[in-house]
Amino acid sequence: MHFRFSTARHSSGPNEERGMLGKIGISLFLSLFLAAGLFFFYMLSLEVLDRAAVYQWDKSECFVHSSSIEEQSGDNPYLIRVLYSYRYQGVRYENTQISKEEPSYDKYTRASKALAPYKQDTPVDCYVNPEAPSEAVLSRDGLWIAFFLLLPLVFIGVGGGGIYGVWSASSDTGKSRGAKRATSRDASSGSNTVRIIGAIFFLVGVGIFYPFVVVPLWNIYDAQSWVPTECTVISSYVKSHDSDDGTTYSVEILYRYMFNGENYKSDRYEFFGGSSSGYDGKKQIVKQHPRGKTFTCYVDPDTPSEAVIHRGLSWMALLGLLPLFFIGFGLLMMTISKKSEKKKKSLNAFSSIPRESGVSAGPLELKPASSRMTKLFGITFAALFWNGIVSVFLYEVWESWNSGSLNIFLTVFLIPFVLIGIALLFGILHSFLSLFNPLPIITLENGKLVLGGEIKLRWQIQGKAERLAHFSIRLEGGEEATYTRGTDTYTAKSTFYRQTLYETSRVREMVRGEATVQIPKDAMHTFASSNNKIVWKIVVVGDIPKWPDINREHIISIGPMEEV
Amino acid sequence: MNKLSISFEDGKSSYLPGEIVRGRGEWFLQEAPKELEVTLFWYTSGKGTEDVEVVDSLSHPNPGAHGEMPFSFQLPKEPYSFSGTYITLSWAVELLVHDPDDSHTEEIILSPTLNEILLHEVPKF
Repeated sequence: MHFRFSTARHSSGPNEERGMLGKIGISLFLSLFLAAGLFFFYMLSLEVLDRAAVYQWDKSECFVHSSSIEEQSGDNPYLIRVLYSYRYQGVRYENTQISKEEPSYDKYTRASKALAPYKQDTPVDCYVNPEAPSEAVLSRDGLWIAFFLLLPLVFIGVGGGGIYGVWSASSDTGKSRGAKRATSRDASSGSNTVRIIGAIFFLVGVGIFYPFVVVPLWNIYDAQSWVPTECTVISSYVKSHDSDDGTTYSVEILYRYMFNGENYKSDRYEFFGGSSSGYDGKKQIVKQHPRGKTFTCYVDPDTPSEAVIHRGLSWMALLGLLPLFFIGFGLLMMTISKKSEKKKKSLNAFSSIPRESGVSAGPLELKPASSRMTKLFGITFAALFWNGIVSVFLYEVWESWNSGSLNIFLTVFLIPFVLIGIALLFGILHSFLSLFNPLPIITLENGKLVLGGEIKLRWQIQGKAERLAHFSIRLEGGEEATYTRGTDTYTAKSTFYRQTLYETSRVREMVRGEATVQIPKDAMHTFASSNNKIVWKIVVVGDIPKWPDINREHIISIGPMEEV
Repeated sequence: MNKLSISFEDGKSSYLPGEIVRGRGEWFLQEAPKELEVTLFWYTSGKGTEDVEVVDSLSHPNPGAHGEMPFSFQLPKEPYSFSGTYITLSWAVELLVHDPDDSHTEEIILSPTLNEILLHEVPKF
């Protein structure tokens, strides 16, 4: 291909050359994501297929001879045992397998619920393996686990997509411009990848949010109508859960009660389950429920085997914010990709339609690039989101301080995140105070602006202009070049023109006025393509002592010279 | 060995906005291509990801292994050719053959001053 390219005039060449070492380094890092994703996808797939196979088995009628809950040692101490028999093709079989998964549970309540359908001396449905009739199960494990296949897909997408992005970006050199144009048009496939990853995050977040937040909240609401019942503690202790991140604790209280003449047992303390650091608080609860003590628990009148000791909210509910992160992040990615694709579609055909002015030559009131309310909403949302997530871990640190076993690693790790959270809170304050700033209204006398022409504008300040120590309006022209490095997008900006139209420190002169400036002939007109722009703007600056300053940018469009 | 070339009328390489670019493309190939076209386009280069826009094109249905093809394109009024700190925008005419694939490009300038517009960064405050 013969193609003459202008000699380099910039601090960096086209599509910045990355060192081969850098690309290999990034690829190795991303390959870890890819490998982890592929491994977990494979393991989960095996589990899903194993469960799905049972759905091909023949349904048969079984008879339960005995059913009980046995205690054993370990993390899941409650094991349910059912002995049942069935006939298949004229042959009688006996079996004890309830499902493919071992029927042991960490909570008595769960074991009791699982055992409820298999009452002694009652017929039940079972599922028989037609290829090995001695193999049967009473219940088929749900296939909802297939939903979690989305999680490793995220890792595969990030790892595989990232590696592809790193190596494909540099392969564009050497193509003819026509082919490159096709490639740049196909860049919308990048938006699709972002959208898919966003959708996966969203679905994973919803999938976690429902069982871990919505269901417990619903149960709390429902439990307000449960019947207060006298219960007696059978056993109570604080259970330790060891993991790589440290030890967490949970309250384990097993109690019995009578409801409608029948005896029941339960070990549910509250609806938001799980464990957390902080031993003392849980120890206190266990001390309040010693063995043999009678107290009031709350029983579901519709399902008396369901009971709870504490039917209100607890701090564990804050963990519900974690799936919100997935949901929010997923929505953000999908929104960004949609906006960026819309923008690319409208710019791909290179439009010179001005943003503010255009065909109309009459007066035009300028709107700022972003309104004060938009900024306030944006930073508030960001702060809530960020601090919401950080507060969950901060709570863990606080609990570890309280318990006397300070988690130093988590404390130090959280410092930068907390500082960012504090900065965001200050940002909210700054944006909020800005709402009360005087408001400069800028009107262009002539909506149509061209190189070599002039800008005539008027301004008026609404509000207390006397709060301003200094006021200025200037015209600026700048370049904006957007590029990607790996999976991140950056925009480099440079100002090539700056001219002050007006500035004053006299309040009388600030309140309203007019100014005119010549637009240079030898500059570049407004231009916008997918990744490169020439942007002209009117910048209004007002210094307010001990208060957030006014700094508003109004994008204007300056067209090419009318007569050449 | 393939040979492709583009020449402009009167040897011009700079044009005013709205002017007509006239010239001819010549090719000498080892075998006749399936398709041949001449395109007028602009492209950006520099720090930002490259953007390309084909403004006009002419195609030759049965090119043959060698020949010449005159072309004439009306240049639009914008965008101008310019070079700044991060972005350069250049105009060019490209002679493209398909199957076998090959191309040849010649740059031109579109500007009211007949020179590339130069943008220099002003110091920050």
